Amino acid sequence: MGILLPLSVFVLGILVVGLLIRRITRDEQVNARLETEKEVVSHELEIAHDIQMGILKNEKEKKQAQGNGDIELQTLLVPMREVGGDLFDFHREGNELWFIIGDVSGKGVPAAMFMSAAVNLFRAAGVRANSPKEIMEEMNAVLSEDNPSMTFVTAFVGCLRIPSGELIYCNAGHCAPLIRNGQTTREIVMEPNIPLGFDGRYSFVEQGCMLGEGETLVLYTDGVTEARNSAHKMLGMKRWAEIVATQEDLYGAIQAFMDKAEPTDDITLMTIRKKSPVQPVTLRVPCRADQWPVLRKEIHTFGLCNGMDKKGLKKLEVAAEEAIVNILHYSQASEVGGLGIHLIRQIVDELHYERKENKNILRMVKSFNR
Amino acid sequence: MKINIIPNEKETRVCLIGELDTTVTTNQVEELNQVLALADKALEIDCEELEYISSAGLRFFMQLKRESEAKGGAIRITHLNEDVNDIFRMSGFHNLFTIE
Repeated sequence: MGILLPLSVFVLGILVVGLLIRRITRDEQVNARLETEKEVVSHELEIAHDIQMGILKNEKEKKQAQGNGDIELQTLLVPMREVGGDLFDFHREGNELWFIIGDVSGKGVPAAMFMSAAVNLFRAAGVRANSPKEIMEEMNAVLSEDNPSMTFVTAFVGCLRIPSGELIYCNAGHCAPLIRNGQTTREIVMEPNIPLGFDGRYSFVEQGCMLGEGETLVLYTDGVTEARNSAHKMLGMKRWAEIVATQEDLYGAIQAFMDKAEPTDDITLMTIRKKSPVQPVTLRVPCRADQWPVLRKEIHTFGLCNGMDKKGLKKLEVAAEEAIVNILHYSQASEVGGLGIHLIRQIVDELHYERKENKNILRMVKSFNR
Repeated sequence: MKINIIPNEKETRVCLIGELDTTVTTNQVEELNQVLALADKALEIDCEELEYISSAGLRFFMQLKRESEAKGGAIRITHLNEDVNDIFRMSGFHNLFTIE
């Protein structure tokens, strides 16, 4: 009985088997097509990866930026996927190192496209701009235009004047860099400026600090502090500061913490170590009125980097202007000159004038609390 | 520096925006002269956005005062910020002007 099936059931059986065979063949075809598409995408991503790595500065450029060895510069960018949204860049102009580290919101291809725009904007802005603030504002103006996806970039732009160690910087919502001195670290003081890409007319606050001989500025993205180990524990700021203070191989230490756990974000590191001794700031300018802005910028930078309060700094700028104007109008003992000297006396602590070896020497001394 | 002049029947408002230093008094003479030309009128010099002044800038204020007195105008200075106000005080200009 068991093997004598009615004919109708037998026919149906053949039909089902036939349909199944057809279905399987079609699935195989689809799968094969998907496989090819996947290969194409993965091949394209590989190329995109190479392009992105090509945008970043290479070893040769890093070596050039280190000049005669007055600084040591190290960089590392490890994208979580083939491409990512982290970025860094730098260029050296004489005794100044200009640099950026940044992190685009989101991941993968969209973030990578924004990343490449950001790097190119930094390079273009760097040609014209005179300060990190100007670079930041120029980048922000462009990135905020036509930004329907509301993608944004956190970034830190800095300019290290290598001989004096003056570091002028502007931060757009990026995590605070650390400065390593021997076995201790300190965090850089940060103004809460907004990230790039939201409001093209935002006015960024510029800041300054000093990088001493042997000190290292450690810049990083949040992929570092938010790295997790296999137990889902986060590296965190405290542990990161400890690593920076005690370890030489920072990426090695991050990997050791992660203990083979899959990374969840791009990881970028940039370290700048000042190797040369700190030199006092000296400026030699021709005795011309148009040199006043040059002198003023120098005084402003010095005050900013040495923690002088803004009010005191403004007054010091006035005193310097009066001095330079006075030197220019030395022969004309005008009423203005008198007023200028009066202002200088009110502002500085000491004022000395002497004529030595055919030179006029005006010495102004001003003390301030850091 | 930028100067905005807002004419008004009663009192003309002159807004000084930016920095009034030796560079401005040397390079922007024409713009400053436009203000001096208004010295016969009642003027409000609005310094809300004036961020810096040196003796070169103070000299401009002095010129304006002299012109104004000669032509029967009037000047009042408004909204000085702390830094600029300090310079007015240190130079004694506080006593020479109506500052509100």
